[in-house]
Amino acid sequence: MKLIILFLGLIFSILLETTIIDLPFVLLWILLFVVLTREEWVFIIAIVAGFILDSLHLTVFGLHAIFFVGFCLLLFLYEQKFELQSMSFVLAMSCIGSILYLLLFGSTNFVLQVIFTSFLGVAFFLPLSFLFKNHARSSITPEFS
Amino acid sequence: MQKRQRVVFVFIICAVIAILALLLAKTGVGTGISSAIQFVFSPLQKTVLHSSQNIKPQSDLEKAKQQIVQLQAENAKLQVIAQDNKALRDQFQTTNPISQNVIPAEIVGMPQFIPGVSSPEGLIIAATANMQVNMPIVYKDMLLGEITAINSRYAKVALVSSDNISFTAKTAQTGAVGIIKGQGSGQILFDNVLLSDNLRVGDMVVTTGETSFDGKGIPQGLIVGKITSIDKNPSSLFQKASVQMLVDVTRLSTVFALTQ
Repeated sequence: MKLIILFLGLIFSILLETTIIDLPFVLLWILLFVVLTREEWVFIIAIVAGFILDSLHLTVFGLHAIFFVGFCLLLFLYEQKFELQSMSFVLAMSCIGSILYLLLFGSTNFVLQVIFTSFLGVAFFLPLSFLFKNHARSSITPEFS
Repeated sequence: MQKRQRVVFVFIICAVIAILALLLAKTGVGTGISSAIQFVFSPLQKTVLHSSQNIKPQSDLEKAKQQIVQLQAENAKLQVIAQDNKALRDQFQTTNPISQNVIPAEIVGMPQFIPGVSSPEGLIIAATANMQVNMPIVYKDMLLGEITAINSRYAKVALVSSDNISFTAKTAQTGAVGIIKGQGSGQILFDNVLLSDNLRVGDMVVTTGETSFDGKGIPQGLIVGKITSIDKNPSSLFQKASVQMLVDVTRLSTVFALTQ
C-alpha cells in the first residue's frame, strides 16, 4: 500500500512536470523513494522515470536517466554518514538536487524554483515519513542481524 | 554481498544502460522506445492539461477582455488589408492570395511554465505527418511561434516570447519596420526600429513575411502582439518597444501549424 502511494505519486509527478508545472517533481519523488525505502531497486525506478521524462520533454534520450541514476548514487553514498530519514537531509538534498537539475536542464526563475522545490520536498516528506517509519526499519534490520 | 557493494553494482548496470540509451538516442531503437512511451502517456497528459484549464472558470471580465482582444485583432487585420489595398492601387499590381493551409494540433504540454510565476517558453503539441521544423504555429490570425523539434508523436514549439526567436515585423498603423526578439519569461521586444519611424502604444505588430522560395517560413500579416511601452532614446541608433501577445496560450488547447 505504502509503495503504491509512492508509485502513484511518481506517475502524477511525471504528468505534472511534463504538462502544466515546470518544477523538478520527479527528482523530488526519486529522493523520497531513496530516503523512505533505501532499496537498490530505486535505481531501476530512476532510470525508467528518466527515460519517460526524456521522451515526453523531447530531450536527448537517456539524459534525465543518467542524471537520476547519479543522483540516487549520491544519496546512497551519504546513507552511512547522515540520517536519511530526516527533514534537514531531505531539505538539503532537494535543494542540491534541484540546483544541479535546473543547471543541467535549464529553466527560468532559477532561484525561486530551487526554494519552492526544497520546501515541496519537505512538505511531501513529512506525511510520508510517518507512513514509512516501520518500512525503512524493517528493511534495514536484516542487514545487521 | 554488502549493501554498499550491491548499490554500486546496481548503479553500474543502470549507468551502462542509460549511457547505451544516450548513444542509441538517434537510432531507431531510441526513437521507437520514445514513441511507445509517448503513446502511453499522451492521453494522460491531455487529461491533466485539460482538467487544469477547467479548474479556473473564465469570469465575465476575462470574457470581455478576450472579446476586446479579438476586436483589436480584427482591427489590425483590417488595417493591414487597407494598407495592402493602397499599395496595390498605387502600383497597379494584383496578386493572388496565397492559400494558407492549417493543420490543427492539440497541446499536450507547456515546458517551463509555473502558473502564477512564469509564462510558458514553449509548447509540446501532438505532431502530424505534414509537420516540419520551422513551421509557424498560429491561433486564428495570431502567430504563436514555430516548430523547433519534431518526432513521430510530438513537436516542440518555441513561442514568439522565447529567447531563441527573432524575425522581422512591422506596425499595423504606422508601418514601422523592426525585429521581433523573444526575451524569455513572456517578454517580446520590437527592436531595431529607426528613430525616424513612428511607434505608438496600442499599435499592433504584424509579420512582414520571411517566406522562402519554396513557401516555407513565416508568412506576412500574422499578428504578433500589441505595443505596450516604447523606449526611445535620441542618443541611440534605434528605438525599441515592448510587445504583448494577444492570446493567453495557457488557455488554449488546440493550435494550428501553417503549411506552405
